[in-house]
Amino acid sequence: MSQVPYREYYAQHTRRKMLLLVALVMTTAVFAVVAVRVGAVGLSTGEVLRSLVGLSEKASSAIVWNVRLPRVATAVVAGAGLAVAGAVMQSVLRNPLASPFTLGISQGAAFGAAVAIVGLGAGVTGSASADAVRVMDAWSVAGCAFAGSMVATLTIVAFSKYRGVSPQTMVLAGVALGSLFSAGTVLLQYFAEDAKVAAVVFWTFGDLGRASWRDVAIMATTTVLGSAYFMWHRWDYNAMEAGSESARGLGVNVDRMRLTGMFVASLVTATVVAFLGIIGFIGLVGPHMVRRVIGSDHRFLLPASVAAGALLLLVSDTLARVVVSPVVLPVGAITSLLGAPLFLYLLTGRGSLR
Amino acid sequence: MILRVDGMRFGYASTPVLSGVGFAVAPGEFMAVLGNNGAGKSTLLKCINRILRPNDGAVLLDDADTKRLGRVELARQVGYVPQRMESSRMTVYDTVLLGRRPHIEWDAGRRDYEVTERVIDQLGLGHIALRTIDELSGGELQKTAIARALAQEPRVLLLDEPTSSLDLRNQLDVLGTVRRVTREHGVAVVAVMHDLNLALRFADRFCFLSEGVVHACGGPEVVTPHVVSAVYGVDVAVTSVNDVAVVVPL
Repeated sequence: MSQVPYREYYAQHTRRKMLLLVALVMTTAVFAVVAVRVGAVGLSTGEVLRSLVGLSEKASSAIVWNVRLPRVATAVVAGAGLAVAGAVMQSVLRNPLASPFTLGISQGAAFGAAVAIVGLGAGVTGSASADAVRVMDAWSVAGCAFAGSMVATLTIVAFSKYRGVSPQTMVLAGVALGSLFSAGTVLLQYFAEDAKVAAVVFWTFGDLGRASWRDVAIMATTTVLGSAYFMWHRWDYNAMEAGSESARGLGVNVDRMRLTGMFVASLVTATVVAFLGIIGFIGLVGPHMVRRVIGSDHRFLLPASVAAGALLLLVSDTLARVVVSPVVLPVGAITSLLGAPLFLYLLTGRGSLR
Repeated sequence: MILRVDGMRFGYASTPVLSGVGFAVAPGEFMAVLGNNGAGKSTLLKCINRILRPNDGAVLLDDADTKRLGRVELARQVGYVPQRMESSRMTVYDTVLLGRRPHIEWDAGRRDYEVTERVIDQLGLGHIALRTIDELSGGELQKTAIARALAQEPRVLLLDEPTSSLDLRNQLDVLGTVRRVTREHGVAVVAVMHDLNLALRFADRFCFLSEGVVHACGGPEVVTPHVVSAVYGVDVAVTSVNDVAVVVPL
C-alpha cells in the first residue's frame, strides 16, 4: 500500500476552508462599512466610526443611525437568512433547484401582501412617481405576507406527511402551490384599482429600505435561531448528501429532518420576505456559489452561506443605491444582474477549492 | 449469537415480500444471503436495519429487541452499505468520517479522526482521500461506502451486494479485507451476494431465500446442486478446483 500523506492534505484542506470562511466574514464586515459611507451624502470612514461610538456631530450621526445602518443591518441579516435557508432546502430536498421561489413560499407571501393591500385596504397613496406608491399599513401587509408563505409551507409539509415524505412530492407540491398563489394574486390585481395594483407590484420588487430597527431585530432573531438549528444538524445534512438510505443507516431520521428542515427554512425565509418583499436569487444561487468553492460539507457550507448571502445582498443593495443615485433601483433585479454572471462563471469550474 | 432474526414479515401493499424469515449469526461470522432477483434479500437487510418497518417479527442484538433502540443507538451497533450510494461533492475522507456520525455528539473528536484514518488505511483509500466522491470510479465508491460502514465500528455489518461494481481483483481484495477486519473485531456480517463462487470463498454460512422464506440455511454443506437448482432454477455442479469450492452451471 503506497503511503500518501493524506492526513496533512486533509488538515491543509480544512485550514483552507477555515481561511476562506474567515476571509468571507472579513470582506462582509469591510463592505458593511463601505455601504454605510456611500449614498446621497458621502461620509468618511472616520465619521462613520465616530458616529457608531456616538462621538459624531448630529447630522452625520442621524444619517448613520436612522438611514444607513438599518439598511446595512437589513442587508446582512436578510441575505444571511435567505442564503442559509436556501442551502438547507437544497440539502433536505436533494434538489439543486429548491428555493423559496420554486416551492411557492414567495408566491404565498405575494398573495398575502396582495390580500392585505387590495382586500383589507392596507392603503396606498398614488402619484406619478413610483417612489410615492407606498404601502401605508406596513404591519398588516407584513403579517399577511408572512401568513401567506406559512400557509404554503404548512400545506407542503402536511401534504408530504400524508402522501409520504419524498423530495419529489415536496418539490412538485411546492410548484403547484406557487402557481395557485400566483393565480390568486393575478385575480386580485385584475379586480383592483390601479394604485393598488401598483402597490402590489411595487411590494413584490423587494426593498431593504422598508425595515425599521424593530423589523431588523425580528428578522435577526429568526435568522440566528434558524441558523443555530441548522448548525446543530449539520452532520445529519451531511449524511443525507449520501442518499436517504445511507442516512437512515447512519441513524438519521430522514423524514423528520426533511419536514423540520423545510419548516425552519421556510420560517426564516417568510420572515425576511414579509418585511422586505421578494428578493430573488440569493436563496438559490448564494448557496450554490459556496458549494462550488467550498464543497458540500455542511460544517463549512452553512456558515459560509450565511456570510456569502450577507455579502451578496450588501453589495447588490449598495449598487442599487449608487448606480443612478438618488434613484434606488429594486434590489431583487440587482441581485440577479450581479449574481447570474458570477454564477455562470463558477459553473465553468474555475476557482473551485473542493 | 449476536444477531438473531425471527419471523420477519414484510410486504408492499398487499404483495408479501418476506413471509417469516429467521436466522442467527455469531460474532465474527460471515453470512451470505443468496437467492433470485426479487427474492427479498435487500428488503431483509433494510428490515434488519429498520430502514423499512417490518410488519411482524423481531431483530435481536445480543438478545435485546432492537425495537427498543433509537435510530442512533441502532446505528452505533449496525452498519449498513446500500446497493447504491448517491454521489456528491464530499471528499472520501469526509464521507468515511460520516460513519462516526452516530457516535458524535456535537463535533468530531480525536478518536473519530483516528478511526476514520485507520479505516482509510485498511481499505487502501489514502491516495484518493481528498477526491470528491463524484469523481470516483464505481469500485472506489463502493469501497468508500464500505469504509464508512466500518468507521461506525458496528457489531453487525449489513452489505447489499458489496462487490457488484468491482473488478475481479478488487472483489477479492475488498471481501478479503472485510473478512479480516470483521473477524479481528468479532463483527457479524450479513451480505447479500449474487456471485455464488465469491460467497463460497468468503462466507461461513449461507442463507438461500426463495419467495420470501428461507429455503436452506447453514454451512458450506447446504450449497448443493439440489438446493441451487431449486432456488435459481438452473442445473449446476458443485466441485472444487485447487481446493476452492466452485459452482458451475451445466
